[in-house]
Amino acid sequence: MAEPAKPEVTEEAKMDLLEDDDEFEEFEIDQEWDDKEEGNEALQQWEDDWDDDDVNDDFSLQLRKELESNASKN
Amino acid sequence: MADLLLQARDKLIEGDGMNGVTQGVNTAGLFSTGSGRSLAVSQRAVRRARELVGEEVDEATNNNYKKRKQPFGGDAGLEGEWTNLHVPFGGDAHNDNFFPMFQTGSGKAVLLIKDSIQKARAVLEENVENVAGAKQPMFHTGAGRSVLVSKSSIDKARAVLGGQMIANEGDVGGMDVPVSQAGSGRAVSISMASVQKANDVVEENNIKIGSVEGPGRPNQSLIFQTGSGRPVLISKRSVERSRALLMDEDAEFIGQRDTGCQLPILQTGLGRPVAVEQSSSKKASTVLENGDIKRSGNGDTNVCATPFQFETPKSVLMSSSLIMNDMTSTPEENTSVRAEKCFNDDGQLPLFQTGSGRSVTVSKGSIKRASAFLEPRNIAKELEDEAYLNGGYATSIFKTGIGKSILATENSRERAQFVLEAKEAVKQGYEDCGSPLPMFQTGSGKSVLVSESSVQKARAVLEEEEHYKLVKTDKKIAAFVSPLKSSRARTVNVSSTGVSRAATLLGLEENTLSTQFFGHVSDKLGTKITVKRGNPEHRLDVASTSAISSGTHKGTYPTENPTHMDRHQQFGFSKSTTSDAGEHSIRFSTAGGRSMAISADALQRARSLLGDSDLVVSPNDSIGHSLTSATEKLPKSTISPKGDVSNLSHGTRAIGYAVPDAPLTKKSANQFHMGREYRPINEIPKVPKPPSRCLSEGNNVSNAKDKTQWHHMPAGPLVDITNYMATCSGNTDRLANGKRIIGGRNSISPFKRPRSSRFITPIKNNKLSSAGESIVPPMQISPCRTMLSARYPFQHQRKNYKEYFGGPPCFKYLTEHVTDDVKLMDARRAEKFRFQHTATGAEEFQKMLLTCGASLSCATKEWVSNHYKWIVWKLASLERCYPTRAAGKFLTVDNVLEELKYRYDREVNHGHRSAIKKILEGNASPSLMMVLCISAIYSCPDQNNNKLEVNKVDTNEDNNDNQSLSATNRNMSANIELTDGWYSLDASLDITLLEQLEKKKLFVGQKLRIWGASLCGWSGPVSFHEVPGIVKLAVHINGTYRARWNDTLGFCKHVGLPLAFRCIKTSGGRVPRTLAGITRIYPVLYRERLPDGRSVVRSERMERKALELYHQRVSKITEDILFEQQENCDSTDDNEEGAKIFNMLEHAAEPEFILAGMAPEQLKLFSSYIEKRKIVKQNEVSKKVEKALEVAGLSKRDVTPFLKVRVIGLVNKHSASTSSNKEGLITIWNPTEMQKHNLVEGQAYSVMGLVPSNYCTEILYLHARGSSTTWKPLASAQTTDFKPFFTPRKAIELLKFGEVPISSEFDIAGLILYVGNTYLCSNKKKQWLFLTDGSKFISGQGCEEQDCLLAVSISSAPTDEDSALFSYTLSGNTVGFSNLVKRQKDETRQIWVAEATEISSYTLSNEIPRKSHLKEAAAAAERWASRSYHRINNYDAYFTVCKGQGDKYSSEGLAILGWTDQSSTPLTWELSSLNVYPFWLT
Repeated sequence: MAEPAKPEVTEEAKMDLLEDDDEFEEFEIDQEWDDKEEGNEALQQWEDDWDDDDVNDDFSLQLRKELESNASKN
Repeated sequence: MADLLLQARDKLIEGDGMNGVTQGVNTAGLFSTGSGRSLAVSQRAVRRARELVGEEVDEATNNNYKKRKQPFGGDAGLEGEWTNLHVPFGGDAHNDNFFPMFQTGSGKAVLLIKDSIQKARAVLEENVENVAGAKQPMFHTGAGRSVLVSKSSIDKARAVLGGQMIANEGDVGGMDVPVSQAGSGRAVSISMASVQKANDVVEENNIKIGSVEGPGRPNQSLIFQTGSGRPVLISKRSVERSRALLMDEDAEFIGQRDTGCQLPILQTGLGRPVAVEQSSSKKASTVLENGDIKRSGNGDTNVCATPFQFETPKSVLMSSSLIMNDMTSTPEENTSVRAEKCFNDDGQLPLFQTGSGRSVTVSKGSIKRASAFLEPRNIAKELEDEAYLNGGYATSIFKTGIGKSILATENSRERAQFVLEAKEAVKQGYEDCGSPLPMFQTGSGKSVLVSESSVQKARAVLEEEEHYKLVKTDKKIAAFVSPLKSSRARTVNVSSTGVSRAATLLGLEENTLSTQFFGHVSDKLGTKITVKRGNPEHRLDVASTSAISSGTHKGTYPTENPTHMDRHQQFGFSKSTTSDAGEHSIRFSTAGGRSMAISADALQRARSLLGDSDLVVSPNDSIGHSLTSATEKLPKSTISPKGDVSNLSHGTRAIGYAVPDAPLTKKSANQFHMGREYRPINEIPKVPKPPSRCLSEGNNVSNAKDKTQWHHMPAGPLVDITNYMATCSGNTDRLANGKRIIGGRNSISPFKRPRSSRFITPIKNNKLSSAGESIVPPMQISPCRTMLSARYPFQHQRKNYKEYFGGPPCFKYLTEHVTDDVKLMDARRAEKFRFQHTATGAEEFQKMLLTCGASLSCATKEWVSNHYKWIVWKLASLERCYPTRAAGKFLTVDNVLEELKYRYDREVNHGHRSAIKKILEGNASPSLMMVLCISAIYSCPDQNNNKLEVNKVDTNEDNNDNQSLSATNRNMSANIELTDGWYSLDASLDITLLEQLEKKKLFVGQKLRIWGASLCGWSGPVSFHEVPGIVKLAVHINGTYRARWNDTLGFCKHVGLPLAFRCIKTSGGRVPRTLAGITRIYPVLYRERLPDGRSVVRSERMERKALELYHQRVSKITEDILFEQQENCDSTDDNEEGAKIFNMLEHAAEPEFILAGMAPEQLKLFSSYIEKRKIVKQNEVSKKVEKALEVAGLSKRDVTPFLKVRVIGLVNKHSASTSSNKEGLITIWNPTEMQKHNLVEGQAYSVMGLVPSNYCTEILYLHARGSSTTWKPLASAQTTDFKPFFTPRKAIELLKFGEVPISSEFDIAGLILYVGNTYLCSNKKKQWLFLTDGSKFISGQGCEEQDCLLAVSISSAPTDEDSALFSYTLSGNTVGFSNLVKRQKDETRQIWVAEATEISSYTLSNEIPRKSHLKEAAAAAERWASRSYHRINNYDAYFTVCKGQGDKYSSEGLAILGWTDQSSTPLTWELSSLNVYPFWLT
């Protein structure tokens, strides 16, 4: 999970170009898109069982370790 | 029309003062035909026309005439001719080619190109006869359309223009307008006024019109044009009549015309014709007449609908008429004064009656205006005094009794003036033509009415000095535009106190009320606001014209020079009044983003509710356009309410036109609110583009700029009441069209621009360094919906975390670049975080927000603190996650403030709410899929002693120990805190999630995709800061999935992925969505809850029987009760008369005779008694039946149908999992008919709403409700990636019965050999039946008689019905069985054994569907039976013997034939109990 080298980005550009994960989108809440979205594409299922440890990325593991290390520092 | 006018205006060459005034009209070239249609005539054409008639081009010898550059360049001669002209304000002249506009009578603009004009010129130059006889001259409109003008029309025109009479055209009976039939025969009428205009154009002398004996036919009408551009027909005669009423010398004419039967027709601003009776006109004359205040009876009796408070010093309500009165230059002041007095006497206005008899109240102002029309000389005189102020911007208003404003444009007034102007006008020779509206006819025969205004324009082009007065007069008269017209033509009244307050707010002196202030207000509302100050000597009337102050206009001509507001413009303005009024509707945006138009009237009401001080409304639509006619110099505006003539005149001028000392800018609307003393308090000296034109010759450039700046200034503290994102509430960028358009912001940087360029960070100000210091001026803590940030809406594609940083966080790069604050930052610390060096915390940021314009009511302490917490946490987390790139760059004051502003904008200005906020406010279901992040983990109350205190960061923080404890206590029932990045919400986990929490699979920072959650403790909309400890989000594991680290927080806009069937947890709550394939569908069953609490499940067949039995019992009980009732009814002891008769008849030997001899009253009593008795009887019976049924336990059946479906989870073909598909058995309670019929075995479905109920090792039991569960079949393409799951049903032969696994279901068809007796065993009714399919015999295998029988055990819960489970009569029939369960084989007797459960069913052979898999098997069995008679007889004999013995044993609890049920399973074959052995074993 090595971080690829990126060109230097100024501070201003950061906030201008970065899409935060909390920038929710305002949209009409209805269920119509439920029907529309299901087309002919093969359906995927959510198969990440809580009992399985293999999550889709190692971020969780890293974060957990980090939290634990922070806790130990305190 | 307004567009055309604006377009035409745009092409005007800028000129100075009067030149602009006169030529503006001329070059506008908008001629209006009699029907109001606009015709564009180039100035050149007009000039040529003028030349044709002998005039010389005025070479601008007059000081007031500065010729402008002629844009036409095609004609060298003309070009040379115009080159002599100079442009006074060089450089700004428009060189655009313009098509002078003529306007037809219907208001349509007609462009005439140069050629047409030239042709006209040629035609006019030549001998008329020659031209007409040979060919029809072709005119071309601006659009290139050819217009043939008949010779006669040309003659007319020529006659008109030359003052000649066309004898052969005259006296056309009944013709309104001169009509010629030349060309293609279509009549073209030209209004007299138009002709007059033309005449004016070509006449050497002013309005020297040829010998005309009369003004025209009785029904001749002049086309006036309203401010909205609609033509108004006013018969010349009526005007004449009015004039005659007012002018003695015209009385004779009136008398002559009175013979006409037509009523003069006026047309309202809406284009509706209004006929005015002569009496009404007389009333008007009476009102206006000198010394004659007498009014007709109608006028006396009619009531003025508009409150009229003219002289009252403290007038609260000023109608537009009054304002108009003020603004109207009344030629005869005495008349006006008298009229006012007259009105003041009784507060009533004379009522005019229309031709249809409808009463029309005409306001005083209208009458005064009429008087102005009728006194042209005085008007001209006035105009000279008025120095052309206000010219062209107002349209006189006539107001009807219902308050509707009638706009009369300058043109109309011009026409009126022309009609009444002088004797020449009266003498104008249209009698011969028979029409006051000169009508031209095109070559195709179409009639073209040329309005007077068009002619007037033409005239103005060629105008001589003599015309100037009249033009000015027209300007002056026309200087009104519907002051009363709001967007819905309502009158807006402003109290004097309100105005005073406003003036105070604006810092004006008592005598100097900012005209701009009122201009904005009135402009915004499209109304006229008239204010009378308390001091009667300083009355100040403010009039605004919506047309003039229209934002559209301003947006088009931001640098309008007042001198540019020439007649043409006013013409255009007047036409655009209606549209302008519409533009004044203010748009609100609801929280949901819906836009809502609020009329100015509604806004005004709202304002009145809010108090007068709220009068100041954002004039964002029309900044700089609010034309108000406040006084420029108050001393001049001082007027005694009942002053003398001079005072009134003076005051009117001063008040109405406000800039008396700027004669050359009299047409400038801007001047009105550019009063030098009047500057708004919050003026922002920011003008995007300085004016490029000077105001006038009398003003220097700097002054002009200065005024223009004021012209653009907003007035007063402006409240932007809209929340559109594009609204610039800074009150500075108002030049553009004020319409609030989403996304219409002039975005220099369309999305997040560098903060440093957007604003000066308040933190850098010293003021901000000290906390607690009030740095927010009170003015800025206003409810303004100020856009604080330019970030939203995002208009450019941005990069998400992964794209921006290149991947997920990697903590191994965590270096010393990251401070401890950042390293240890969590939500709780973030709330208390303060930036080093500046010690800036949430409180300081709140002040910054307020400084930037945020509302204190929105950016509360709680709000800022909350968002500050999440922003700081996020920024710190980014620095921590990407230390090499973001350390020290993200968690900055600027970023935090920008984020706060962005959030403020989205919430306050856009009405957007995050997921949690929507949920808490009840606007979104918590069951929707959303991604939330765990922001805190509380101790689990039930497991205090174990390791669930995960959030050690909190608990270990010394300063927050108490808070953590309190938080823990507060959230005793909550386990975690979830956030959407904007707000947070406590959540309670189900037991399965608690297990995951214990396993530390739930941790702070983990994002969860939550679906199907519910709220606990929520009873209604609640604010975010009231939530903790009260409202919780109940989440369960079947609807909670681990989300990706970079998933966007908030509601998901897409349908969620279905949870794999195998991942469903039995205790995990409702499954929002899963995929399953149906392998078996079982028959619908019926569960009846018995009164004793037990429940019975029946098949459909048994349910029918049970229902039938129920009805039988109920009917029996009912009959019994009825019978008893019948017997009891005999002993009625009713004492009433009817009862006596009844008893008498009952006991009478011959009741018929008694009935025949009864009186009618007795019969009536008897019949009523019978009826009453019947009702009583029915009630008694029903009560008794009810009781009896209740006693019998038959009161009501509680039956619930349900459908069982066996499903299997779908597994992807590419799945590495080798585990078998997980099976489930779904019970659908109360299935819908659709589900009953549409669910198909073998079909894969997306199922929503399943609830797991139980789980065993092999199968998952789920429940569903028919109404709340959706079964959406997957398309075949969607199922291709899944492993096959379905094994179709097939009929099992006994020959291969051994292949069927024990306990598995199977279907079979066979011949029923024997149906055993029912017996009771373990509280169940049981029954055996034996069948064979003959497959063993058919196969011819050895031991034919072994394994050839199948014994099926049928069981059912005991009910009180005696009917057998399986009818004996079915013996010998071939039957197809479904869903039997294989049991252990009776090895002793070599009989296969199966069990029929509640899901099993049978179908007779002849009832088996043709497509059924059992059909063929049943047919084979029947074929075998038909040829195996002997063998079957043997079976019969055997079972008959068994039956005889079985009866004996059954009574003793033993199963027939020795079959007994020991603990249900396994069945054992007890040989000892049998006396009879199977023949195949004997």
